[in-house]
Amino acid sequence: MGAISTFYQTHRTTLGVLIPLAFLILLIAVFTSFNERFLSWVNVFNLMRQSSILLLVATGTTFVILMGAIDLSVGSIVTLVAITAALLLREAGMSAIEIVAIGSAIGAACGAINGVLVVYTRVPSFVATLSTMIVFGGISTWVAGGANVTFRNAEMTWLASGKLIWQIPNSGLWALVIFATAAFVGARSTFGRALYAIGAGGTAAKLSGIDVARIQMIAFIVSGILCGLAGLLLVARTSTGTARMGDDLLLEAIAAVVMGGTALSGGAGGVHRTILGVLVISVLKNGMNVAGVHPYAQIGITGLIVIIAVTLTLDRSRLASVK
Amino acid sequence: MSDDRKPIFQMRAAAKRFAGVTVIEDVDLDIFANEIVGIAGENGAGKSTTLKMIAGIYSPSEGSMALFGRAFAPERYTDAVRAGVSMVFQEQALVPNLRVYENFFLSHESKFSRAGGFVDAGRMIDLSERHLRKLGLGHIDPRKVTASYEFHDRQMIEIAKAFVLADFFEVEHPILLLDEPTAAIGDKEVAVLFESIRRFRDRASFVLITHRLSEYMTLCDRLYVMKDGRMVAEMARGEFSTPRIHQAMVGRERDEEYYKEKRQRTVADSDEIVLSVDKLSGGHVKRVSFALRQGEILGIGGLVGCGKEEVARAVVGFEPFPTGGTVTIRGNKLPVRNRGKSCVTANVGFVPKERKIEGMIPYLSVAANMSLAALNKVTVLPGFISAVRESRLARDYIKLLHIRTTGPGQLCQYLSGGNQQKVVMAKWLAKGVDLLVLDNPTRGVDVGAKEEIYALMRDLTAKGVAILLITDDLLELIGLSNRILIMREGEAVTERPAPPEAKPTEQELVSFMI
Repeated sequence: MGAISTFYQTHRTTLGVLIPLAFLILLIAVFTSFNERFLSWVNVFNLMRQSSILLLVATGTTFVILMGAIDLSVGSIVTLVAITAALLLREAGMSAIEIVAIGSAIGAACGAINGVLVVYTRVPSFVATLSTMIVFGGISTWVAGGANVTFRNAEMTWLASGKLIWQIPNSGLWALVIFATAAFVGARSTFGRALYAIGAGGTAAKLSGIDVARIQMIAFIVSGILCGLAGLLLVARTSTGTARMGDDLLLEAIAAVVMGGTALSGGAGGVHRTILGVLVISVLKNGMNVAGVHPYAQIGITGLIVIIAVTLTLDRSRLASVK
Repeated sequence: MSDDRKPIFQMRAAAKRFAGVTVIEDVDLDIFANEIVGIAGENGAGKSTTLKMIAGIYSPSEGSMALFGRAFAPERYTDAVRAGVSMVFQEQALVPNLRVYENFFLSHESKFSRAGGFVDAGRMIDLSERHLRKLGLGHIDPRKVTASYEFHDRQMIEIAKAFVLADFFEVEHPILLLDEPTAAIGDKEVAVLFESIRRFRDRASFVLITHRLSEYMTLCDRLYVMKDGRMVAEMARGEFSTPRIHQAMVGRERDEEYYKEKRQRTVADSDEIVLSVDKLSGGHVKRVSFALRQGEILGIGGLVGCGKEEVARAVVGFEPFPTGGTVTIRGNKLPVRNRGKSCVTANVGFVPKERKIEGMIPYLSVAANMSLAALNKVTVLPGFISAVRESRLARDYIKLLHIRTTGPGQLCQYLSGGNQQKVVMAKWLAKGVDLLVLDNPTRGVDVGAKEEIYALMRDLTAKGVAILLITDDLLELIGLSNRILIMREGEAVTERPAPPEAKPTEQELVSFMI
């Protein structure tokens, strides 16, 4: 065992926060050198708007990963809610409040379906949510008839792009408020503690009287609701529902959770840490725009950076062998 | 031991530090040819670390090792295997879904390659069969899947693997390291294992670590005793006895007070019945009935597989459990569905056998483990945990149970077995229990911590807690119990009171077990 790896083992908790933070600062420095407007208020608010959706999805994903499961259907729930909302706004002319309620309900229902499959029919979450990912994605394409669904609704636009406080875009505000609440719940509530316990040792948690099935259900439902809210913000920002519009979020959300330091095996990390991963990915995407990187080249570069970041930050101490 | 022969293995002034913390220091150790050497010591004394240094799993921070007269500095376990040192791991290191011969030569298949990169399985099987026969293990078929053999046979397969590989790497006299080989097997299998080790010793040397001191007595030629990371004694056969080993290990004489028999509470008929089990049946458990009063310890004994563990599972609702008959706690019949949860609500605590999987959560902190069953006692707003209260609760129990830890925030995986077990006990004390079910509570626990756990059990009974004790350790069963129930093949065959002045003998109980 080399001195470096010993050092790494001893200070792993601190390094778990410092590495993504250093990565973030590096990215910001690089992009600022390309274009000094990168750190302007205008761009910072732009960054908040862009990262709000990923922040919501990644927050929900963290709950599920903390208990040692995975939710691969997050991107398709975002798409499903976005397209349904767009359709209802265009065809039924519903109000924004009704849309928010319906969108959250659809998200919750999707999460509940995942939960039932995993908890009661005991299908491993990887397989269950991989299948529901296809199902939810298929439904979205079907209801939209394969076409883009465009609508006009001032309330919805305000919801995403309006400014309730100062110059802060509303979407960023909602995402931050929800994230802060979720981080607090994850770190300090008995529900959060139960998630850690289940992720780190399911049998012991069960024998200690924790209602494992109930907690697992709630985690999937919370993940579904947060994806629903993310879908609403996404569609409100663009006023258009498109098939597959949420697909990229799956990899980005999992990468953000892992970069933040939550173990894929569950039981370690935390919701509060996910924001670091979200920022790394959002800064990268925003920065490439500001620096004028060709849009088609951006996709590959994002994937590459995610791999590098995950390689540096993934907590391998609990993986007996990497599978 | 004065011996004019030269040791085949030598360790000199070895030390091991992890992140600056010294685990063992100044350790000298010799292994002679055809010898069975024991290393005794409490948990955390440094036995396993020493063994892992010999096996190349840890490299010494200081000091040197020599094997067969040459300097020996393995960088990893496979280096040690090539040089002739093999370890029989406590949690077996065989891949269960591979065939026996595949396990033997795992990662050495390239030595059997034929033209075109194919593996010559026939030669591997032949070689395996020859070795198994030579070791008197002809009943093991190298072509069968490893998982199809029972635990004790797999253990033999692992020992055989050491011989096969030693021969393969042309080592004449291998050294086998046995890390608690008897922790998970019954008495009959232990006898077979020991018999085999004695048989194999003309071809190899053995180093043994075990928690049962009597096993050092029956098996070892020479014994090292470690305490706090140092070698404190070396005894030759004939010089060691259980009290002497014990004294060297803990630095005090073992006395009759070990099981705190004088503190055994006398149970009166007026004491409330906390648990009653009526005609419990299912699996291979047949119509087992008994009752347990407050402040009483009822011990259930019997061979491994007699059904005593299933009885415990039914009482605490640990699925799967026998569902026939009834289990009643303080007059309330427990449901079959969700029984585990009902039990926790009914103030039943359970200290399971598989501590690291069932008892506590190694990756969570001491505090989080202790509060796990009593989260509502450390909340401020409903549903939200107060870090201050949780930490205070943990500190209280760390102090009360003398748990050796750096503090409430330390992860449980870094505690010794005995201290981990105390954390599991603390979890239930924090919750508050009327009935505590203990399944082999001192398994893998060092002697010092054992005694503390026994004292704690007496404290609990004095407060009126009823204890159901399931144990494979006969002396513990006799010493602790107010009453003893012996099970055989799923049936309760006898029930015998065990007051301090008239404890049954081991022989008496064994006669009912077999």
